[in-house]
Amino acid sequence: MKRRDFALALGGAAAAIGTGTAFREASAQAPASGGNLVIVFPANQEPASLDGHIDPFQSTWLLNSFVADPLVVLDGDGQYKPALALSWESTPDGRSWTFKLRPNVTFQDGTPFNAAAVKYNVERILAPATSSKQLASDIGPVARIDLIDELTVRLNYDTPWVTLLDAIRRTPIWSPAAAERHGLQEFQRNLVGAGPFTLAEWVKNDRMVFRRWPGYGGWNAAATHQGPARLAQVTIRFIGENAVLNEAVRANAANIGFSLTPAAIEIYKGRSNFRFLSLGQAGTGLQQVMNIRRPPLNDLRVRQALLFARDSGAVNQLLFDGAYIASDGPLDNVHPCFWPGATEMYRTDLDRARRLLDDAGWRVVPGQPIRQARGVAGVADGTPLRVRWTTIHHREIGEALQAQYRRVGIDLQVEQVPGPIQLDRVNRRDFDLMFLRQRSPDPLILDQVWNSRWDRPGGWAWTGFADARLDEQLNQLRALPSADDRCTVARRAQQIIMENALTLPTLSQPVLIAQQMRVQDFKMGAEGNWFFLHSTWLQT
Amino acid sequence: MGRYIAGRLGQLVPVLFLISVIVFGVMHALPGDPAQLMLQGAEGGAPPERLEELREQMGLNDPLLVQYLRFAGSALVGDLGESIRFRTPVTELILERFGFTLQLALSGLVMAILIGLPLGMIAAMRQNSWVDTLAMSIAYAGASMPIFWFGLIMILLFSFNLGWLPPAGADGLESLVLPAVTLGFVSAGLISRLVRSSMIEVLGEDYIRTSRAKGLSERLVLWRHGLKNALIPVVTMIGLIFGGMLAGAVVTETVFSRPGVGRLVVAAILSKDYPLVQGCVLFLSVVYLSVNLAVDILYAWLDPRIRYAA
Amino acid sequence: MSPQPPSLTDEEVPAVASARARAVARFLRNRGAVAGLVIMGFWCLVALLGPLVAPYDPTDTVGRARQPPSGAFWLGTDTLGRDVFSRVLVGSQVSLQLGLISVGLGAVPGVLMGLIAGYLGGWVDALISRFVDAMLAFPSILLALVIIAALGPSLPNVMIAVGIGTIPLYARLTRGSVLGVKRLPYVEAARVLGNPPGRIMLRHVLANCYAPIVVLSTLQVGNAILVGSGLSFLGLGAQPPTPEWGLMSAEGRDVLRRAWWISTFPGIAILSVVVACNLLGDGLRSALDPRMRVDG
Repeated sequence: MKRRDFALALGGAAAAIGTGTAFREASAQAPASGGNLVIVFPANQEPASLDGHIDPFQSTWLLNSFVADPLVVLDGDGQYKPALALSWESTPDGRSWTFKLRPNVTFQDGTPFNAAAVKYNVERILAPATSSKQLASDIGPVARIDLIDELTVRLNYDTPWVTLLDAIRRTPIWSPAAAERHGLQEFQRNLVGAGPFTLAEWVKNDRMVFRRWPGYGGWNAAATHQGPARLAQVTIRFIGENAVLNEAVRANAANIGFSLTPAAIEIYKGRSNFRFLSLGQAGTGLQQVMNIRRPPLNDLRVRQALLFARDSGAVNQLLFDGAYIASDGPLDNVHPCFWPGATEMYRTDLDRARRLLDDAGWRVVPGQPIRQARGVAGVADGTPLRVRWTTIHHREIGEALQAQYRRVGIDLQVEQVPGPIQLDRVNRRDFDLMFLRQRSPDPLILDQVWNSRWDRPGGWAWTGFADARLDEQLNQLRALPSADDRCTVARRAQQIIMENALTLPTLSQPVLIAQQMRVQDFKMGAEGNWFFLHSTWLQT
Repeated sequence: MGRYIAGRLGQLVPVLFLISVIVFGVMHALPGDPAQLMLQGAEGGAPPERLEELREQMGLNDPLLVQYLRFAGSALVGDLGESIRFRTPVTELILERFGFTLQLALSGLVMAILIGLPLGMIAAMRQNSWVDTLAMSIAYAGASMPIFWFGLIMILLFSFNLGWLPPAGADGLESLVLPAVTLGFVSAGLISRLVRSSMIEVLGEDYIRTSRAKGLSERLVLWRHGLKNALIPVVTMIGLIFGGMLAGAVVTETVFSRPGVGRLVVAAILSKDYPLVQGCVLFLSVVYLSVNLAVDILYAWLDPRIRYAA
Repeated sequence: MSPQPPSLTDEEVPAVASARARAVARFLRNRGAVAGLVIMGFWCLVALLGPLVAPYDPTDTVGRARQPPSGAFWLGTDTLGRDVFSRVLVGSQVSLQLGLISVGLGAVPGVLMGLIAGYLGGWVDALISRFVDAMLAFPSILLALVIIAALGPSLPNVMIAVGIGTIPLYARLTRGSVLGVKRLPYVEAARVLGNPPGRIMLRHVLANCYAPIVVLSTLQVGNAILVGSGLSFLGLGAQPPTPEWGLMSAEGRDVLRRAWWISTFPGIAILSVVVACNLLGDGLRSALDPRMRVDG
């Protein structure tokens, strides 16, 4: 890998923020067969378990997709395209989904792919023994699975479930025979799917090696050619030190650097011998939801003051040289259903913030940088205005805002905690501003976070806000089949949320990818955190 | 000899017992529900019924003493429980990675000797000269240097700027060089000081006188004699130095992105994966004790006086 | 190993005074020791003055992020635009606190245990010695990790973890010294005169064997700072925005290549403090009794 030299003529690599890349066909040279593609990943994206049915990480499902094609794929334009399923339809109420499967597909162990295999996989995910942490709740409460014929399967629900495709596109379809033979624990070392590669080696905390499966039939819309993958081998290296991760592509230790940190921008952007992509991840962005059950955030004016006093653009400039993406509302600005009114509603206005705090009874005391309470209900006079910011990563955003909030007299206390601690705090409702980030182009995430019926142990509605109007809008998100209608409803919901100042949006983290020019046909998904290697090849 | 070994083994038992009690006790005296931690996903939740079921299954509702006995009993047969995060037996996770840590510790030891021995010898030979001062300054610096900082400097110089060696990974001998040097340099300081003082003691005045009077061959003989004696304190300290290697491995593996038990235990602490922390600490303690025991036995075999002094 | 400390019978007081003077002279002749003293003195001064001497507020964004060293920012700025020089200066407070408190937490119980074990002997001694031996067989880094895992990552917890790890060192050292001093005529006399054991232990025994304890403490301050900064580097110790040297190095890792000053200077600071502690400790040892062994 180290000393070979590749020259590349690459057509239009666009760094389109938000909608993925528009990928043009490759250059004049015929695709070469063979080669070892080396990709570096951050070490924290290494899965705990490689079985995507169990493990809840995006990176796990991505790595699974090399070994197991799913039923459908979400391509770069945001459209669902066929993979192992040729076509699909659902009833208008979303209670029944029928998939027509592709014929003549076999798993890597030779067993046939059919409706029974799909049924087996769905049941395996939903089985309590599997303890599927995420996929089970994404697939939903399937009541009954019908095998209509050898290649047609129907999933029936008791409640409308319009978001199935978003889950199915991530679901690896494993060979039932192999899964049965190895059992839950061992299967992750013996993955068998119907994808272009097999898992040859996994050295924990170091690397994963995938080898081409000669029997692959190109049965995936993401593949631009029929037949087995062009690459002979794919090596994924997990790097713990960000400085090393960012340097890897430049040092010729890797062909592709995936999920680099903002420090990589300076290294690769605008250089003619590298392609550099900065892609948005639609979702909620990095936001801090507010606990409105107790002071000081139980007062709308204080919450609004927090929103007016922040300058996300300045934070972006300071910390990330402007590389991060704006996120002004409950959904980030690159989300298809983003409500633009959110940007207008809380433009940085320090004076307004100060006035709101004065009105709420938090007064400036001469000689003291932090405001104190004067006549605030439930708070003793003289108590300083202290707000706790709890997050699991990106604490530097909190620290940058800490400095901003001092200007208006708010004492922001920033703490970074590990995931389990965050969940513990959430369950006890012991927080002021709590980190939340969901990534999905589907507005259903609004329902998960803001519908008051999820305000219970294990649910995601943490703020304590309950409003019939908001719930009504959110409930429709699960029932309306039309994407446009759902966006309209989502926008109304966002407006209500922002009017009540229930969350503090900050920024949205882009996925930064650097590639050497010799990499061809590397296909990005709609979301920056997904890609396809089915037709990728290395130019020699 | 056999009695000596038996005696030393016997001494191990209370130590192991105490360690297991400390590890178990400390980890269980805390807030945080392991069952809940097990059911939490990256961005998900846990229904209350499943929680209760899992607590029963994990035996978390039994009295603490029973839990300890279960823990100690399983540990004796090699079962260290199951990691919350990985949902895999702890023993398996450790064994997957221990080879790398051992590799690192041993090469660190080799490096420490390769750097420390010549340094100490040169300092002894040119005692009180500027060479001596320089060598001892390097030794002091090494012993006082934060390992993480030294590792970062190594990466900066030899990987980023000069491009000679890889800064990460466990792929072959190349990737072992920088981590081994980083780990070894710190202990090299200790070794060089030991070697120096030992050689000075042994050679003493005779050496100075002789080297002036006699020729080269006499000097070589004295040299070899001095070297052999210089190694003795090093050997006695190997147990301690190995412990230092284990301690340093925790940081070195992190800085150089190497797989290993050190990195595993840090990640386990940060993610509150108690069974994994317990298992790693217990395992590493046993390793450390075993190495010390082996060194003691080896030394007793070499020098019979020790056996009877015990 | 027991040292031979100066004794304190009445006739020997003038002898003691000159013994002390000789020790001081020996110390001052040792260039390394003096260098160590000077460096430590510098850092203690900085730690005391700290915020007063620092040109900028160490927790405030005062410039653009990741600026190289310049006239305005002598050691450059870090990832949040804070002045590295100010943070290094104020960080000395944090580090010295870490060193001193850890040592205190270890020395007080450790010395007491050693005193009691050494002086009372018998089954008390056997019990405590067993316990201490077991603790010593356990690598201290693992103990620190277990305690941090239990209590959670924070600087005070690091102090506790490191401190507890040094208890057996003090216990064993003190016990050894006590055994040597126990049979001295002065101590025997005090016992015969009916002094309570506690008083004897503290006033007479301890007063005679404090030297190794002082040396050990000096060395352990440096060690505590090393271990503590290492743990903070891993994320197990000081939490942001504390200007702790290990943490500062960790924060600069991501931009190591292009903003090397953020990680480098705090490391140099640690190096200088620990070298000073080692020089000082060794110098004290040579001055007080060159044959002293503090690591048993």
